[in-house]
Amino acid sequence: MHDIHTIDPVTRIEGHAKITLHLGDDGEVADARFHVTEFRGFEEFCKGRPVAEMPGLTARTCGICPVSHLIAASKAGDAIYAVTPPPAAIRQRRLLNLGQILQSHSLSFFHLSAPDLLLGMDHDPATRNVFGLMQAEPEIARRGIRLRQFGQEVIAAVAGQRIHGSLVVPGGVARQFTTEMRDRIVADLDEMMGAATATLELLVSVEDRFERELHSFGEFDSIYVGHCLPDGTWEHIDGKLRIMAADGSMLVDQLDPHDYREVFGEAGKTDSYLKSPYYRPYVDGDDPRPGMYRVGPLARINLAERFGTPVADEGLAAFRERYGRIARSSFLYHHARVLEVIACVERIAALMEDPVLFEEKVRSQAGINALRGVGASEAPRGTLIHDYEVDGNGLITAMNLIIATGQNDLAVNRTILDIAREFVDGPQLTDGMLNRIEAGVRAYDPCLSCSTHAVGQMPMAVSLIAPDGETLAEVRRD
Amino acid sequence: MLVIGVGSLVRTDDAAGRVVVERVDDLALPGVEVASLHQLTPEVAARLAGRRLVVVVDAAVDVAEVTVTPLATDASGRLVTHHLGAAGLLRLAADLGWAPDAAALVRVPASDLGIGTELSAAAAARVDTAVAEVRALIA
Repeated sequence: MHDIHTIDPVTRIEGHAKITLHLGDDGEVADARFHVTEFRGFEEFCKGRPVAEMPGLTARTCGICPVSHLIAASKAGDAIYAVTPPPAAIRQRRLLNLGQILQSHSLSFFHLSAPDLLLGMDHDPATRNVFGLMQAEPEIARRGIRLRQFGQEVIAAVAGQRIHGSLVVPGGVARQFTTEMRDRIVADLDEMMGAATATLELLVSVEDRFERELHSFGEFDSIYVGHCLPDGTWEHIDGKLRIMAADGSMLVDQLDPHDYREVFGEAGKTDSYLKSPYYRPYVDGDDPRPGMYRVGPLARINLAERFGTPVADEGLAAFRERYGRIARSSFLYHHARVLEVIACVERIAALMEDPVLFEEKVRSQAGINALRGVGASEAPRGTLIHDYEVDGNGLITAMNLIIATGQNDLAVNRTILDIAREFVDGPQLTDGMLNRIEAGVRAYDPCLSCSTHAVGQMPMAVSLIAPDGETLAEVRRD
Repeated sequence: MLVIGVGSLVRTDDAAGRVVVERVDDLALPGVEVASLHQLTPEVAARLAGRRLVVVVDAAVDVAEVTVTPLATDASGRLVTHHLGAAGLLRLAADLGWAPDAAALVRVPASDLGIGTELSAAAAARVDTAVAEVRALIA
């Protein structure tokens, strides 16, 4: 007999999902599945619209990472127009993406995961949230709020508003960067650098408490995928893709995102709206799991030799001394995320000193010169690919969006299975156990397209379901 | 002083608070900063720090006329980041040491919260009154 535990909804992630745990005849967890239960349909309803509208339309996929879609869509548009944006525009896009990564990582770390890390996995769920953190650790909460606010301010300064700004367009950007914009950003840089480094010190100081989680939250071999410069420097918007094997050996380097179909396949599922991309050379048959790979902060720092900025590189060296050249545990996504926050602040500071950023020419003009264009960049959660086909008038005829969270789907499923095997023992489920499973998902910071989730209430339903569909037991937390 | 207008620009009268603060912004009053926001998020709490007065202007379905009240902190203990109210924002600011010296809430009657980018005639007719109330508070 196979029983099923269901965790529905999964809380403190961006969107709606549920988890089912399938018990085998021996009462042990035999399988675990992560189901995304919301449907969006952007790839269909964008058909027939002009490619120039794609940055604005696809950015509405999400209220947390709209900038990532703005940039990938504009880069796909660059390819269709066959234009190279002016240097000032490229820098503005870089600045915008750094603000995006910074604010999203701060949200993930402080608002969503810090309650688990700082208050403890077994802390009362009623106060194990950002508001509980504010009361217990107000200084840390202030730091998190200010870092996220700063990331949003960078976006607002460049794009005009924090969410769904209209700056980035195919061919470049819409406006010149000004000294007034710079001054808004520079005023807070010192405070943000202090906040970011203090956050790293804090995280390092508490990581020893989570030895069991470190070894059960997705500690496995996998491929890693992300942007990286040819010399091994961390990259987030330009350059090409690096694909690294679990042992650190190079599978593919400097893959043009335009050719992603040569190495990546996409598997559909009957129990989730999330596609499961996989590394094609490792898959022979219908099961995509041998081609599982990870993207996002952990993948990016595994792929890169260096950040290229001094403070982040110092943190990366200490990280590697402690966890090795290739960090295998998905629990370390948190650490990687904080290192990237530091790198973002340092790179924003460097851009503020770059005179090219302020140049007047910010957009290259052209018509439809190619009928297919692929744009890719690093979203906070990992590599994002927009693939468009257009007709001679530039109207979309086909679209494929490959989202970071989808690329991590196989790894998320594997992580849930590992945690369930470590912490779930038969039909008895505790809050701490459930939260570890959720926290394992949360480590990837999945973005299922910004929807409501009640931080203060942590609603959760766990059902034990027999193979014939009968609910044998149910636990609900309101 | 900070005047915050909050609401959706595509939900007809829900935008009333934002219309009011745009009018206040046009007045260019010395020492007065305005913020026009879709919703109140935890980051807004940081903007309350060190203010002599914070005024939140919001649409409301439970008032018949423009109403001004002192803003008290939410004591329910059930704050939710995705729909933080003015009282919850003040509570958050207080917990983090960012509470202003004083805070007030100006509520503008809303009768139509459907899809739309223009205020209803009833709400539009009350904008002048709400602007006058804000000016009186910050005078």
